[in-house]
Amino acid sequence: MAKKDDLRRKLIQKARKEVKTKYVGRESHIIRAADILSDLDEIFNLLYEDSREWYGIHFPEMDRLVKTPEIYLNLVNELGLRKNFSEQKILKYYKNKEKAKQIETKAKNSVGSEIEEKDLKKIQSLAKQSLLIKKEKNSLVEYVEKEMKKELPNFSNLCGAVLGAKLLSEAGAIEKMVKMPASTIQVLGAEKALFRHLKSGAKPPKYGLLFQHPFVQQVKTVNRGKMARSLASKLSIALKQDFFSKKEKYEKLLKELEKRASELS
Amino acid sequence: MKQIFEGIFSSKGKILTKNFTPGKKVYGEKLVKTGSVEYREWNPYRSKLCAAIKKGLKKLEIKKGLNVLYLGVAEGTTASHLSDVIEEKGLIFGVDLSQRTMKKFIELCEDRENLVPVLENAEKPEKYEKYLKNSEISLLYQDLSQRKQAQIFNKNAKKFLKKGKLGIIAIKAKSISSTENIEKIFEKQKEELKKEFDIIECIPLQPYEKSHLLCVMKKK
Ligand SMILES: C[S@@+](CC[C@H](N)C(=O)[O-])C[C@H]1O[C@@H](n2cnc3c(N)ncnc32)[C@H](O)[C@@H]1O
Repeated sequence: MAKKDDLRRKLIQKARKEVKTKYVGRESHIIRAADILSDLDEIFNLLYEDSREWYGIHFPEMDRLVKTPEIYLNLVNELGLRKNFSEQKILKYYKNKEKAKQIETKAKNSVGSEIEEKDLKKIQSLAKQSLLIKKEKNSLVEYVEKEMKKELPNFSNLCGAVLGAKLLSEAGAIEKMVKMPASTIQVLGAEKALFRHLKSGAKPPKYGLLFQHPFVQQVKTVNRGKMARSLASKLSIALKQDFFSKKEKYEKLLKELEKRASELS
Repeated sequence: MKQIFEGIFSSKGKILTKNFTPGKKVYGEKLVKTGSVEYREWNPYRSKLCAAIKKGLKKLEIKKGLNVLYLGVAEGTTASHLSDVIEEKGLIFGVDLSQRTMKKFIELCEDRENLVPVLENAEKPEKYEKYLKNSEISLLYQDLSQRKQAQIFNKNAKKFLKKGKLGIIAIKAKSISSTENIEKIFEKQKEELKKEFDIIECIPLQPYEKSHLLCVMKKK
């Protein structure tokens, strides 16, 4: 009796340790990171909008001249008041001579109101925070890319690491995704539409997250469903390759997909 | 409440086992009390052994105090009912290689003193052989969604089952090959199993499970 209990305790301990170390998966970290990526995007967009709105009181013309969020935020953050917007200085953050000239001219003739130092400080602090969030996001993307290539090299190479991680997050676990039929992978992320289809006979969705894939974007609109289907079936093969060996052998699959994409374009 | 096999009961069309951990549910099943005894309803849609019982399994020699080797224990749904039957003197070694399901099974093992987790691949019995050396196994139970299920079963039987002991396997037709016709697959698997076992009975599990067969056997 005592012996049996000893054995049981020992095996429970051992299994606990193993699910923690040997097996517990890198995948949980990847899934967390993929979910947080979407959050960071959203937060960044909000703060960026807010910064533009606020800084626009002082220099409304810049809104139409600078469309890249990071450049806009850097200009606000580094140059501050309109009067500092000389072509020279602008060029440090926006490497486009023509645009820099335009911005300088608009700054001189702006219809915006003057603002006080304390207002500017607040706007700049907001811009700084948004840039930090962008930085955090970019480094998280790098992390996801690295980890995905380690865990699912073939899959990531076909799918793109970030999109792949989002699919993984939808699926919940690598093992689950490996066992999924391609038709399920095709509509991962379109659960709402799928549910509507099952419940009320609405049209079934043709794709979920795979809509974001460059190949699906590239082909003629009417062919997107077909492209998503081919893509899903190759992804499903790549997942199995990864599950069983992780050796890189996605080249052939990728070639086939490229061919399919150009047929459908 | 009618006893149909030792420790397994039937009442109003439901199959039940006596709850080894009164008050606790394992997978959301209903608890039923008669007098001072609490039973757990056994769901045939969640457990293939229960499906086989519902489909009229004739003989099931499991009882208090047995040691069981369970391959593909997953979260322990079926194992929990076997645990009810074998009670505190028995022991179930639950083997599975999925870390995700094993996490849940470990928690179940903490609750039930006759369950032990083994996180290994059932294709490699030599990995867990050492833990079983002091426990004579009376039942080898297998439910793997796997190709080569019969080979894996035989390999484990050779190592752990003495002559005359019980083997129960749930065979899934689809995971062996999706193209061959189902009857043929079952026949092939049975041929393989007959190398090590005398088959007592085989029961198809529909409507509870599609393309599944549960076979009860004795070790040769
Ligand atoms: C259908 S489920 C078992 C369900 C469980 N028997 C029940 O009724 O509660 C199959 C399980 O077998 C496991 N499995 C598959 N191949 C395996 C192997 N080679 N070794 C160990 N476990 C395996 C899977 O991880 C999965 O949890």
